[in-house]
Amino acid sequence: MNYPIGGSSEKHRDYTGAKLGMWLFLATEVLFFVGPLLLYAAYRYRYGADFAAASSSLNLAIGSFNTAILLTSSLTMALSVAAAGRGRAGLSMIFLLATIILGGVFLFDKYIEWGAKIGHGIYPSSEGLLKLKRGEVIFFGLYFFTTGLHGLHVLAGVFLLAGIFVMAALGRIKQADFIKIENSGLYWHIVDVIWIYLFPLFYLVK
Amino acid sequence: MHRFETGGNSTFDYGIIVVVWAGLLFLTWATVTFTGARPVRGVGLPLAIASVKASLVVLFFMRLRFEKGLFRLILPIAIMAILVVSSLVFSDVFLRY
Repeated sequence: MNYPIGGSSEKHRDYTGAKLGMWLFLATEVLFFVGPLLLYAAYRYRYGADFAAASSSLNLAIGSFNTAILLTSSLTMALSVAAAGRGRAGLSMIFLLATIILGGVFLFDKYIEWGAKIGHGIYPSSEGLLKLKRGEVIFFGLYFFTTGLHGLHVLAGVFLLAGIFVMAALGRIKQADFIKIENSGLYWHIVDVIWIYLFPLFYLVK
Repeated sequence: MHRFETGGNSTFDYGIIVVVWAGLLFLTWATVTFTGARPVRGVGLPLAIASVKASLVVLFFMRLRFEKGLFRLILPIAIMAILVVSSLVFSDVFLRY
Protein backbone atom coordinates (compact mmCIF):
# COMPACT_ATOMS: atom_id res chain seq x y z
CA MET A 1 0.00 0.00 0.00
CA ASN A 2 1.28 3.46 -0.89
CA TYR A 3 1.14 5.95 1.98
CA PRO A 4 1.04 9.67 1.27
CA ILE A 5 4.47 11.21 1.66
CA GLY A 6 4.73 14.52 3.52
CA GLY A 7 1.33 14.48 5.18
CA SER A 8 -2.29 14.07 4.12
CA SER A 9 -2.05 16.90 1.58
CA GLU A 10 0.34 14.79 -0.59
CA LYS A 11 -1.45 13.48 -3.67
CA HIS A 12 -1.34 9.70 -4.13
CA ARG A 13 0.72 8.71 -7.11
CA ASP A 14 1.32 5.34 -8.72
CA TYR A 15 4.43 5.71 -10.85
CA THR A 16 4.66 2.03 -11.74
CA GLY A 17 0.99 1.77 -12.64
CA ALA A 18 1.15 4.88 -14.82
CA LYS A 19 4.14 3.61 -16.76
CA LEU A 20 2.70 0.09 -17.05
CA GLY A 21 -0.47 1.54 -18.53
CA MET A 22 1.54 3.42 -21.14
CA TRP A 23 3.58 0.33 -22.09
CA LEU A 24 0.36 -1.68 -22.52
CA PHE A 25 -1.07 1.06 -24.75
CA LEU A 26 2.13 1.12 -26.82
CA ALA A 27 1.90 -2.64 -27.31
CA THR A 28 -1.59 -2.13 -28.76
CA GLU A 29 -0.23 0.61 -31.03
CA VAL A 30 2.35 -1.81 -32.41
CA LEU A 31 -0.35 -4.43 -33.01
CA PHE A 32 -2.46 -1.73 -34.68
CA PHE A 33 0.18 -1.19 -37.37
CA VAL A 34 0.89 -4.89 -37.83
CA GLY A 35 -2.45 -5.35 -39.61
CA PRO A 36 -1.70 -3.16 -42.65
CA LEU A 37 1.89 -4.41 -42.68
CA LEU A 38 0.67 -7.98 -42.98
CA LEU A 39 -1.44 -6.85 -45.92
CA TYR A 40 1.69 -5.26 -47.35
CA ALA A 41 3.67 -8.49 -46.90
CA ALA A 42 1.03 -10.60 -48.60
CA TYR A 43 0.72 -8.30 -51.61
CA ARG A 44 4.45 -7.72 -51.92
CA TYR A 45 4.84 -11.48 -52.17
CA ARG A 46 2.23 -11.48 -54.92
CA TYR A 47 3.31 -8.34 -56.83
CA GLY A 48 7.02 -8.01 -56.09
CA ALA A 49 8.02 -6.36 -59.35
CA ASP A 50 5.12 -3.86 -59.23
CA PHE A 51 6.01 -2.94 -55.64
CA ALA A 52 9.64 -2.31 -56.67
CA ALA A 53 8.53 -0.11 -59.56
CA ALA A 54 6.18 1.91 -57.35
CA SER A 55 8.77 2.21 -54.60
CA SER A 56 11.35 3.60 -57.00
CA SER A 57 8.99 6.50 -57.78
CA LEU A 58 9.00 7.63 -54.15
CA ASN A 59 11.43 10.35 -53.12
CA LEU A 60 14.19 8.46 -51.29
CA ALA A 61 15.97 11.69 -50.34
CA ILE A 62 12.94 13.03 -48.48
CA GLY A 63 12.27 9.61 -46.94
CA SER A 64 15.87 9.33 -45.70
CA PHE A 65 15.86 12.90 -44.44
CA ASN A 66 12.60 12.29 -42.60
CA THR A 67 14.08 9.19 -41.01
CA ALA A 68 17.04 11.21 -39.76
CA ILE A 69 14.67 13.93 -38.51
CA LEU A 70 12.57 11.46 -36.55
CA LEU A 71 15.62 9.72 -35.08
CA THR A 72 16.97 13.11 -33.99
CA SER A 73 13.61 13.96 -32.45
CA SER A 74 13.88 10.73 -30.47
CA LEU A 75 17.32 11.89 -29.34
CA THR A 76 15.98 15.23 -28.11
CA MET A 77 13.02 13.51 -26.45
CA ALA A 78 15.31 11.08 -24.60
CA LEU A 79 17.54 13.99 -23.57
CA SER A 80 14.48 15.89 -22.33
CA VAL A 81 13.46 12.96 -20.13
CA ALA A 82 17.05 12.59 -18.91
CA ALA A 83 17.23 16.26 -18.03
CA ALA A 84 13.92 16.01 -16.15
CA GLY A 85 15.29 13.02 -14.26
CA ARG A 86 18.31 15.07 -13.29
CA GLY A 87 16.14 17.97 -12.10
CA ARG A 88 17.16 20.26 -15.00
CA ALA A 89 13.74 21.69 -15.80
CA GLY A 90 14.94 24.43 -18.17
CA LEU A 91 17.14 22.07 -20.18
CA SER A 92 14.33 19.53 -20.31
CA MET A 93 12.00 22.15 -21.77
CA ILE A 94 14.57 23.16 -24.40
CA PHE A 95 14.92 19.57 -25.59
CA LEU A 96 11.13 19.14 -25.50
CA LEU A 97 10.70 22.20 -27.69
CA ALA A 98 13.32 20.84 -30.09
CA THR A 99 11.36 17.58 -30.30
CA ILE A 100 8.15 19.45 -31.11
CA ILE A 101 9.89 21.46 -33.83
CA LEU A 102 11.44 18.34 -35.38
CA GLY A 103 8.03 16.66 -35.34
CA GLY A 104 6.68 19.67 -37.21
CA VAL A 105 9.48 19.43 -39.76
CA PHE A 106 8.63 15.76 -40.35
CA LEU A 107 4.99 16.62 -40.95
CA PHE A 108 5.92 19.47 -43.30
CA ASP A 109 8.14 17.11 -45.32
CA LYS A 110 5.27 14.64 -45.51
CA TYR A 111 3.06 17.43 -46.80
CA ILE A 112 5.62 18.27 -49.51
CA GLU A 113 6.00 14.62 -50.46
CA TRP A 114 2.31 13.87 -50.62
CA GLY A 115 1.71 17.14 -52.43
CA ALA A 116 4.15 16.11 -55.15
CA LYS A 117 2.48 12.75 -55.56
CA ILE A 118 -1.00 14.26 -55.61
CA GLY A 119 0.23 16.87 -58.08
CA HIS A 120 1.25 14.05 -60.41
CA GLY A 121 -2.22 12.55 -60.12
CA ILE A 122 -1.24 9.75 -57.76
CA TYR A 123 -3.69 9.60 -54.87
CA PRO A 124 -6.29 7.05 -53.71
CA SER A 125 -8.89 6.33 -56.42
CA SER A 126 -7.41 8.87 -58.85
CA GLU A 127 -7.49 8.15 -62.58
CA GLY A 128 -3.71 8.46 -62.71
CA LEU A 129 -3.33 5.81 -60.03
CA LEU A 130 -5.88 3.41 -61.48
CA LYS A 131 -4.07 3.43 -64.83
CA LEU A 132 -1.03 1.84 -63.19
CA LYS A 133 -0.48 -1.88 -62.81
CA ARG A 134 -2.52 -3.66 -60.14
CA GLY A 135 0.43 -4.17 -57.80
CA GLU A 136 1.38 -0.50 -58.04
CA VAL A 137 -2.18 0.54 -57.21
CA ILE A 138 -2.09 -1.68 -54.13
CA PHE A 139 1.34 -0.33 -53.15
CA PHE A 140 0.20 3.28 -53.24
CA GLY A 141 -3.02 2.43 -51.40
CA LEU A 142 -0.97 0.88 -48.60
CA TYR A 143 1.56 3.73 -48.78
CA PHE A 144 -1.03 6.47 -48.30
CA PHE A 145 -2.88 4.51 -45.62
CA THR A 146 0.07 3.52 -43.44
CA THR A 147 2.13 6.71 -43.79
CA GLY A 148 -1.06 8.72 -43.30
CA LEU A 149 -1.90 6.75 -40.17
CA HIS A 150 1.67 7.25 -38.97
CA GLY A 151 1.46 10.96 -39.77
CA LEU A 152 -1.69 11.24 -37.64
CA HIS A 153 0.20 9.63 -34.80
CA VAL A 154 3.04 12.14 -35.23
CA LEU A 155 0.51 14.99 -35.22
CA ALA A 156 -1.10 13.64 -32.05
CA GLY A 157 2.37 13.35 -30.53
CA VAL A 158 3.18 16.96 -31.38
CA PHE A 159 -0.01 18.14 -29.66
CA LEU A 160 0.71 15.89 -26.68
CA LEU A 161 4.25 17.23 -26.30
CA ALA A 162 3.01 20.80 -26.67
CA GLY A 163 0.63 20.18 -23.77
CA ILE A 164 3.45 18.70 -21.71
CA PHE A 165 5.60 21.73 -22.53
CA VAL A 166 2.89 24.02 -21.18
CA MET A 167 2.62 21.93 -18.02
CA ALA A 168 6.37 22.07 -17.56
CA ALA A 169 6.31 25.85 -18.05
CA LEU A 170 3.67 26.07 -15.32
CA GLY A 171 5.93 24.13 -12.99
CA ARG A 172 3.73 21.05 -12.84
CA ILE A 173 6.51 18.65 -13.80
CA LYS A 174 9.21 18.12 -11.20
CA GLN A 175 12.15 15.82 -10.67
CA ALA A 176 10.13 14.02 -8.01
CA ASP A 177 7.24 13.42 -10.42
CA PHE A 178 7.99 13.56 -14.14
CA ILE A 179 5.97 10.54 -15.25
CA LYS A 180 3.98 12.74 -17.64
CA ILE A 181 7.04 13.66 -19.67
CA GLU A 182 8.40 10.13 -19.38
CA ASN A 183 5.18 8.58 -20.70
CA SER A 184 4.96 11.16 -23.48
CA GLY A 185 8.51 10.23 -24.42
CA LEU A 186 7.58 6.56 -24.58
CA TYR A 187 4.76 7.39 -27.01
CA TRP A 188 7.07 9.50 -29.17
CA HIS A 189 9.68 6.75 -29.35
CA ILE A 190 7.12 4.16 -30.46
CA VAL A 191 6.07 6.50 -33.27
CA ASP A 192 9.74 6.56 -34.26
CA VAL A 193 10.02 2.75 -34.06
CA ILE A 194 7.05 2.39 -36.41
CA TRP A 195 8.68 4.69 -38.97
CA ILE A 196 11.93 2.71 -38.64
CA TYR A 197 10.03 -0.20 -40.18
CA LEU A 198 7.87 1.78 -42.61
CA PHE A 199 10.85 3.50 -44.24
CA PRO A 200 12.61 0.41 -45.69
CA LEU A 201 9.32 -1.32 -46.51
CA PHE A 202 8.09 1.54 -48.72
CA TYR A 203 11.20 3.39 -49.88
CA LEU A 204 13.73 0.58 -50.31
CA VAL A 205 11.87 -2.09 -52.25
CA LYS A 206 14.34 -3.43 -54.85
CA MET B 1 6.94 3.73 -4.05
CA HIS B 2 8.71 7.07 -4.01
CA ARG B 3 10.09 8.13 -7.35
CA PHE B 4 13.67 8.51 -6.11
CA GLU B 5 13.78 4.83 -5.21
CA THR B 6 13.40 3.62 -8.77
CA GLY B 7 16.81 4.13 -10.27
CA GLY B 8 18.13 7.52 -9.43
CA ASN B 9 19.86 10.16 -11.48
CA SER B 10 22.80 7.94 -12.40
CA THR B 11 20.67 6.08 -14.94
CA PHE B 12 20.13 9.26 -16.98
CA ASP B 13 23.31 9.41 -19.04
CA TYR B 14 23.36 12.03 -21.81
CA GLY B 15 26.46 10.51 -23.41
CA ILE B 16 24.97 7.07 -24.03
CA ILE B 17 21.87 8.64 -25.57
CA VAL B 18 23.98 10.62 -28.05
CA VAL B 19 26.14 7.59 -28.92
CA VAL B 20 23.02 5.49 -29.58
CA TRP B 21 21.64 8.25 -31.81
CA ALA B 22 24.86 8.30 -33.84
CA GLY B 23 24.59 4.53 -34.20
CA LEU B 24 21.01 4.86 -35.41
CA LEU B 25 22.02 7.37 -38.08
CA PHE B 26 24.85 5.08 -39.20
CA LEU B 27 22.47 2.11 -39.45
CA THR B 28 20.07 4.24 -41.50
CA TRP B 29 22.91 5.07 -43.90
CA ALA B 30 23.81 1.36 -44.06
CA THR B 31 20.21 0.44 -44.84
CA VAL B 32 19.98 2.90 -47.72
CA THR B 33 23.45 2.02 -49.06
CA PHE B 34 23.35 -1.75 -48.93
CA THR B 35 19.69 -2.58 -49.57
CA GLY B 36 19.47 -4.12 -53.00
CA ALA B 37 23.23 -4.43 -53.34
CA ARG B 38 24.54 -7.85 -54.32
CA PRO B 39 24.76 -10.51 -53.06
CA VAL B 40 22.07 -9.68 -50.47
CA ARG B 41 18.71 -8.83 -52.01
CA GLY B 42 15.15 -8.80 -50.80
CA VAL B 43 13.60 -7.57 -47.61
CA GLY B 44 15.74 -9.54 -45.14
CA LEU B 45 18.65 -7.16 -44.71
CA PRO B 46 16.67 -3.91 -44.32
CA LEU B 47 14.28 -5.57 -41.86
CA ALA B 48 17.19 -6.99 -39.87
CA ILE B 49 18.81 -3.55 -39.63
CA ALA B 50 15.42 -2.02 -38.75
CA SER B 51 15.06 -4.54 -35.93
CA VAL B 52 18.49 -3.60 -34.57
CA LYS B 53 17.52 0.09 -34.71
CA ALA B 54 14.19 -0.59 -33.03
CA SER B 55 15.95 -2.55 -30.29
CA LEU B 56 18.33 0.34 -29.64
CA VAL B 57 15.43 2.78 -29.37
CA VAL B 58 13.48 0.49 -27.04
CA LEU B 59 16.40 -0.41 -24.79
CA PHE B 60 18.17 2.95 -24.56
CA PHE B 61 15.69 5.71 -25.44
CA MET B 62 12.68 4.02 -23.87
CA ARG B 63 14.91 2.73 -21.07
CA LEU B 64 13.51 -0.79 -21.08
CA ARG B 65 16.94 -2.04 -19.95
CA PHE B 66 16.29 -0.43 -16.56
CA GLU B 67 12.84 -1.91 -16.15
CA LYS B 68 12.04 -5.08 -14.27
CA GLY B 69 9.29 -7.65 -13.99
CA LEU B 70 6.15 -7.26 -16.07
CA PHE B 71 7.60 -4.39 -18.13
CA ARG B 72 10.07 -6.76 -19.73
CA LEU B 73 7.28 -9.14 -20.75
CA ILE B 74 4.94 -6.74 -22.52
CA LEU B 75 6.86 -6.34 -25.79
CA PRO B 76 7.89 -10.03 -26.06
CA ILE B 77 4.24 -11.01 -25.60
CA ALA B 78 3.19 -8.55 -28.31
CA ILE B 79 5.93 -9.88 -30.62
CA MET B 80 4.79 -13.45 -29.99
CA ALA B 81 1.24 -12.46 -30.89
CA ILE B 82 2.58 -10.88 -34.11
CA LEU B 83 4.52 -14.05 -34.97
CA VAL B 84 1.47 -16.25 -34.43
CA VAL B 85 -0.79 -14.05 -36.57
CA SER B 86 1.92 -13.69 -39.24
CA SER B 87 2.39 -17.46 -39.40
CA LEU B 88 -1.31 -17.96 -39.95
CA VAL B 89 -1.42 -15.29 -42.65
CA PHE B 90 1.63 -16.52 -44.50
CA SER B 91 0.54 -20.17 -44.31
CA ASP B 92 -2.44 -19.03 -46.38
CA VAL B 93 -0.51 -16.65 -48.65
CA PHE B 94 2.22 -19.13 -49.58
CA LEU B 95 -0.36 -21.79 -50.50
CA ARG B 96 -2.48 -19.31 -52.42
CA TYR B 97 0.13 -17.89 -54.82
